[in-house]
Amino acid sequence: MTQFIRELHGVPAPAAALVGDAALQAFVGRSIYAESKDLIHPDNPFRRPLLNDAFTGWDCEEYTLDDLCSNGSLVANRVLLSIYEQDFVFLPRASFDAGKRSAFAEFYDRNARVTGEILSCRLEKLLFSCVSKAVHVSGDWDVKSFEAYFEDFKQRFRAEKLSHLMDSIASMRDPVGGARMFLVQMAGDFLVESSAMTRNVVGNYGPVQSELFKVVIDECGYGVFKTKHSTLFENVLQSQGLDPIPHTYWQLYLPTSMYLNNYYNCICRDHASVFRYFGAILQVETAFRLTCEIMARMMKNVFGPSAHIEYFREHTHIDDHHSRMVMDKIVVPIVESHGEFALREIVRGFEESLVVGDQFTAGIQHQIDWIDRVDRDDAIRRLPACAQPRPMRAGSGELCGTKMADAEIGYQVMSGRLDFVFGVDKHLTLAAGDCITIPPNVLYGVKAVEDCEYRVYPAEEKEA
Amino acid sequence: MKIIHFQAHEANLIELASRSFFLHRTRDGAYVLIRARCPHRGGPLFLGRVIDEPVESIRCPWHDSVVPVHAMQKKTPAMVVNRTDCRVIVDDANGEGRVRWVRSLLNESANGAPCHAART
Repeated sequence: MTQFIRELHGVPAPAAALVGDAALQAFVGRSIYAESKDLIHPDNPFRRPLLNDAFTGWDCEEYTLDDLCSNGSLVANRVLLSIYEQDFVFLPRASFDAGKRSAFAEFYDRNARVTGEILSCRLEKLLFSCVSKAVHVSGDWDVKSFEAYFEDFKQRFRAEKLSHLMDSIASMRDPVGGARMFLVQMAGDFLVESSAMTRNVVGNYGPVQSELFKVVIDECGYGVFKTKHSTLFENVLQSQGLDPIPHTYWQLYLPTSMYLNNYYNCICRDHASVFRYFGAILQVETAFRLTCEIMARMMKNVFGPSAHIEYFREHTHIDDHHSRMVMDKIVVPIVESHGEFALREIVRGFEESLVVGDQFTAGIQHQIDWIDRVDRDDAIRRLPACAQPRPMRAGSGELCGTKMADAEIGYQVMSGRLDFVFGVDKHLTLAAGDCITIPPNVLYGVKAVEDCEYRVYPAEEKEA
Repeated sequence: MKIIHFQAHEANLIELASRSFFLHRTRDGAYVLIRARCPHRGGPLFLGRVIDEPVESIRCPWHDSVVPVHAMQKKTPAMVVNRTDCRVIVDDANGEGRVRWVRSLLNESANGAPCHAART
């Protein structure tokens, strides 16, 4: 199998795509990955709709950073995260009935792992080449230059984009809904916090390995469930009435939110990227102190006394230590022992982590801006110019799985009622005669509240 | 040590006390710093031409010396570029350092049109 996958890297692109397409069909054919009538799936971390009716395949080998909010990216990230998380143990909490046992068996099925390995080759190239190409590391690096670079980062880092996002949420017409949607975007990562990185504490690579293990011990709450970081985040979710079980809100994850999660899984799963991972964790641990402060401030402002911010307070404290521990006990020793190659990879990981973090923030900012616009702007209740609308029909309760609008798209309800979902709290119901135009790069789902006839107006293609 | 910050579309020449470096975009799209002066007699390499074979090299405009790009990257300051945000780490002994934009012919084809690696 390993040999086959190695060979897959070397086959010409169209052939690799064909193999990938066959693997995709084999992978998504399981019932846990089928489209669902339900928007959320409580207490079933295996139930993950992957495709949607707008997905027609991936039409390129590598996305650009600008493509990461596309529907193809949404599907690719869903599939890749499902592949990566086959490495993790999930169990439903409330019951383990026949349906969940079947989902459990399907999720960890051996054939699914094999096809997942094949698919991951293609998906990693599709999704992560652009991050790699965004960062260039050159010249003569040594510990002294890296320390200067790191100090410069610490002094200059202000998390401006995150601050802007927090201000946007606080000033929404429905700030609580916006903040809840923000929590949902973090849930995919924080509810399995440190799972990706634990792949790097196994093996045997000297004293540095034990230093990394100390960070993991903190993340896992020293073996006390109540203090495990993922438990602290469960408390944040529960304090706002959100379900704390991983992936209940799977269909509401933005592609850029999963992308952040997938990036860390990618560099932690591929041990050839271990130095890159050391750089990435240094960046995150160093920045997280400030970003947690900023997030906690927004939560207190928006949620008031019900804000449960222990998760953020813990990180504001412990990540000061983690930053120092990673720099002094991992990065510096590893550079001294493994030289400039390791250092260049560390710098690369540090910078790639910034790129991926920017995508995460930008994706949420775009969705939050749209959700707020739905409440404020009547101009969205129009139809795009389109000569050929497609007539559609949906039975009561039918849900078209969530998807990304790749271009402006309009909907007009002819009879019945149609519910549009844009966030965990953001639903907009259109009745007969109502219409809406959804802009590109927005996540949405459509559910028929009752038997419904409607028209879809795809934006007219511009002439080249 | 100090950090010199600049944007790749705003500056391409770094002048330090001892020598100058040019921000070059290689054929495969990577940003690298190369020595701005030819090792032969100090000709301005950024006014030379890129030739691809057998390895990516620069033909100096003064004496037609051909110098491989990878050779011109040796003993250059540490640099990281994130999208277009450039940071160069230099020793204090190099003085304040100055960055500026100079016209380059490296990323133009022989007829003057921008080639595929031209800055965007």
